[in-house]
Amino acid sequence: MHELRTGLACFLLLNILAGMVRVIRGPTLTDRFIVAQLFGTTGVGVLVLLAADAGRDALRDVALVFALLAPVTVVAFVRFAVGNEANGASAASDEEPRP
Amino acid sequence: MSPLELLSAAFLLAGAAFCLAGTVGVLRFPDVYCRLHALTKVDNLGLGLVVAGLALQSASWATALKLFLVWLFVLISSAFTCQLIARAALRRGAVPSGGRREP
Amino acid sequence: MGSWFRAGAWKSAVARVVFVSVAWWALCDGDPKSFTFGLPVVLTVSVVSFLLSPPRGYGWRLTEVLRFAGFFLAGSVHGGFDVARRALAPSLPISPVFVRYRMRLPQGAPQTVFRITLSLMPGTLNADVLGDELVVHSLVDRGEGIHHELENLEWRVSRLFGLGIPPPEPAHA
Repeated sequence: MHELRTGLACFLLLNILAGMVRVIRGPTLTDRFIVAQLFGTTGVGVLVLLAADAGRDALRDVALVFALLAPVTVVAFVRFAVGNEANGASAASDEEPRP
Repeated sequence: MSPLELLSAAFLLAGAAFCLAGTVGVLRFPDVYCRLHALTKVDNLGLGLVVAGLALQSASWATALKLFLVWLFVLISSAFTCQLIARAALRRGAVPSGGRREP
Repeated sequence: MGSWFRAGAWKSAVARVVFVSVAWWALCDGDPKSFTFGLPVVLTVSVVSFLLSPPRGYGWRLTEVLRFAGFFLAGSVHGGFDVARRALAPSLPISPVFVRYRMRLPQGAPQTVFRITLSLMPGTLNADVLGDELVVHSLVDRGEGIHHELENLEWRVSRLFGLGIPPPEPAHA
């Protein structure tokens, strides 16, 4: 079972690596950013897989922190991205309906 | 291997397969909105299956529940954040593929 | 207690304390010693949750919550399968489309639950909110089918909150 879990953790890491292709290709900033979401979910998967080994219980807490911090990065990105529109609109315009 | 271990291994393998499908979706789908579908639905199901497989192996009920809580947090946060990202993409004017755009 | 502390609020208080206690128990891997520290934490978190989000008197019923949880779980598994199949199929069978949908649910928790669940259901993703109107992205253009599915989901959410929204017309397909 240990081998299976470690193997799958490596497989998930390869998935993350494959996600880098999307970061390179883009084309928009949002396309690049959503790979961070992929990292978040897959990273949590890697951590819980590794945490199942004896003596590594603390990794499960790391996974929990990963899961809780992921939305913070998204909120930061959205404030940044929408606040930097070409027309120079401020982040406050977020709440107004689109033209 | 006991039947429980076999079941657990099946869950883990299925979970990894869905994670792969999610990555393939992110790479193949034509625009950012479609890619979000792959992220929110497929990856969360993959993680859910991995968590279920590990919960079957876990030493105590509390640990199994903790794994489930981790999954629940990821699930809720990604359901929220995919809306934020989609909205940000719309407002930044990311062009959807397929051309039809009602709003 | 203030007048807002109605009979329904007690039910909500018990539910929150039980939820926070179970979460603490799980976070500490079931160590019984952790509750010497955990008891004040549980009480503080419960009180803070009451201050930040006082109970609004929705008629939660455990049977409805379980029924909805089952529906949600089945839907998200189906959603995951569906999108995974489309991502892996060589022909990439998708026809993305945006649709608008006017919500009949009241603002607040009911609309939030609706928007979260619809993002995990097969094929639909909430992209924007303009007042009571949603902009929904669907991976596959199924015409009226999307609308019908959203109505069905909205009806299920309304039942969860004990609100009276009429069920959708039987499918004409």
